[in-house]
Amino acid sequence: MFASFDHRRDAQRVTQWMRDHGRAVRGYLFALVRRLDLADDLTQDVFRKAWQARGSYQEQGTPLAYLLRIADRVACDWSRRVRPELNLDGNDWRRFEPAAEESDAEHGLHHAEAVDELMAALDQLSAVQRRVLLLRYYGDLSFTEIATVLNCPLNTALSHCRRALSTLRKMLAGKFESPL
Amino acid sequence: MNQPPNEQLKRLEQVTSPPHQEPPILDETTAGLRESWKGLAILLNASDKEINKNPLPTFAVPARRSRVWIFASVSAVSAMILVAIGWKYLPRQSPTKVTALPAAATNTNQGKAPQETQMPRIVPTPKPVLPPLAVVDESVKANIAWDDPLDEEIAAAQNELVRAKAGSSWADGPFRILSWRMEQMDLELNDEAL
Repeated sequence: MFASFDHRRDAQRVTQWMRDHGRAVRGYLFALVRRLDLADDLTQDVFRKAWQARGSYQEQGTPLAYLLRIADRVACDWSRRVRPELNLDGNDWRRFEPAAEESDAEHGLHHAEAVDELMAALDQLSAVQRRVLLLRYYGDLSFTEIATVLNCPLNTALSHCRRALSTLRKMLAGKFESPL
Repeated sequence: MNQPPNEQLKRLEQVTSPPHQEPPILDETTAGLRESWKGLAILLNASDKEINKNPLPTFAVPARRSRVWIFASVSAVSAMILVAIGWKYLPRQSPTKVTALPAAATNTNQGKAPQETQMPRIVPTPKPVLPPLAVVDESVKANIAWDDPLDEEIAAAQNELVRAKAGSSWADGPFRILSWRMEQMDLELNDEAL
């Protein structure tokens, strides 16, 4: 009877996570893998893993941060599976994984100007710089948490962030005059 | 930007705070980074709006499997394994026909208990009767018949030998007889009396 109650409670929690944070997780994965169909598949993987790990879940931090940690790992695993000799930290990532226009077109995603500009901006960054900024944007993770996800010292994570923003500044300077 | 880590951390947290939260007054470098962050946030926001035109993939929580079914499945598999092992390794009965005779036919003795009359009886399978391969004439039989005393001697010696192998308590006498008979046979063979 208690097991049934736990199962129902876990199911409600994961379903609620999907409703509340599914879009953020998909956005994060899309910015990393550049293909919507693949981002959708990986999003499902993220929630499946969250469901499988429900027994060991501890309510520390926000659920979104927890889900983005899983998403980051899923994306890294995928990149290693597709290109065993590469990983998301390598510079070769950009060369081997450009945006897949054909696949997105098949799924009805028409690249708007903003998406193209985003991809162009992300292309200026290294993979690890992208991950720092995206984790910060989508999950509002602290830099300590980001360093944990990236498995690097805090100072390294801060340096990645600062350099990434400096690079983007050259590209985006004066482009967005209006306040958000 | 050689700042102490804590100072750098604080500044970057301000720079990358949500775009709608304006941080306190920043220096020129930090303000430039803040503009980059806001520009990236605009692009990400627009991109999200674009991709969210497609419905979000669904995730169905797997149904909970009842423990009764798990127990039943494990029991069924175990039973199948036991049956398979028994079928393979346990000795099987010879194909002797076991028939239960009807009570009326077997219950000839009225004094016996009824349980005895209803017990199944083992009826040995009758040996098939093969037709003779060929009909032999009586005259040919007479010619074939061979009454040789040596055959009897050999048969007797074999019997003694078998008995000698079966036990040892009574073996002295028969062995002596056997030895004597073998010597006799040897002599007869040497004398060409046979």
